[in-house]
Amino acid sequence: MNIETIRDEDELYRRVAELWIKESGKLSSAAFQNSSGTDEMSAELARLTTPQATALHKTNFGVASFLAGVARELNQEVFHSPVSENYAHSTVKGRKTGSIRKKLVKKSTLILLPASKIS
Amino acid sequence: MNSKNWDNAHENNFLKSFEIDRLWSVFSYGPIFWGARAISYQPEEEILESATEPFQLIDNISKGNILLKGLETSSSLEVDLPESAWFVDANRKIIIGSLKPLLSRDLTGVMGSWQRKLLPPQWTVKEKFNEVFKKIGHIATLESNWDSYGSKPIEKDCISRGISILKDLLQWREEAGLKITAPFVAPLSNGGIQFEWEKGTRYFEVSILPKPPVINYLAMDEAPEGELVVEGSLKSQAGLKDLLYWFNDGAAERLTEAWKMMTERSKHSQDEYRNNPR
Repeated sequence: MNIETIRDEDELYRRVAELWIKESGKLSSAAFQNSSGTDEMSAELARLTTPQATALHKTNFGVASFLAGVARELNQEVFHSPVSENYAHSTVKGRKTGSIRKKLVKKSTLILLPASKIS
Repeated sequence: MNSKNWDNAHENNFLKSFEIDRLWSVFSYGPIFWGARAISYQPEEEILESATEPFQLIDNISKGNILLKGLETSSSLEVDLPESAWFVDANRKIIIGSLKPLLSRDLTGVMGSWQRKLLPPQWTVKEKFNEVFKKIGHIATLESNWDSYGSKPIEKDCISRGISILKDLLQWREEAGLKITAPFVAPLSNGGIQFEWEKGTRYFEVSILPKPPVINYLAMDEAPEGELVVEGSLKSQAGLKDLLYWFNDGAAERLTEAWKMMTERSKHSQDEYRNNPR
């Protein structure tokens, strides 16, 4: 598989569980935690996918969007890491302290809401 | 509370402190009333006798149905207010409720602030906390991969420690007057749980982690000179209380003070919060 270069202005999608979305519609910083036991967080390169595909076409997930450059400013390494079933798969690698996760929340946008959060 | 000082600012603060929807109103009553607020001329006995069911004590506000009579109408005729949920704080001699007069008599219209949207009863602080307890109960049942990224089920130990912290908060509300609101609770992919509070520019987060079993905190605020960020691991119950005091009513500068106090305390503390929360 070809490995794409992710530019700072590239948008990344992160699938978010409905339990991470507050009544106010704001996102919890819990949404930007590394996968258990690793220093990596999965995301998807927006130009290679759609919000619906990132949500696995399920209505109980939402999708948050943020720029690769924002993550890099927070000392995160961002690279394309395709897997067999998901060519858009990308990785945001680095230690994510509470403040880094909160800053990612501030710089991200919820572009797809789970069905339960749509009034 | 001196009723002379019960102005709009007090009313707003009161509504905020109990998370009462701003569409609800605060009315004074009884002998300490001084001012010109609607229905405030009501004698206390009349108010209490008109209760249509016993008041139920929730937090330090009583909640019940009450039938009020008022005179501030376009025709100055007496009008019954509908039976709806009211919150009565006997200490302050105030009633919190929304007004919508019945027009079943010979009235054809009612003026001004009486015509408010009738809202269903809102929550009280304890009800909000109960919702958080319920959500924790749901979070405890999550199975592996609940976040679709390979997450772990939430550790029972994290659930226990989270509930213990919530109980501390409720106790501090009652004993120490710490009017902290119920937090937002979120599961963490590593099997932990997280509490979050947000108020204006202030943000406070407590992450209860499974392995190693630590409790991390993050406090953020905006100051004129820039963003203040304090984060670390909680060492003691007192540390959590200091930060919550800052969050509840502190200015940005007090975040640094709270952090210094907490650091100082942790030097003398032999017990991690996780080992000796009480």
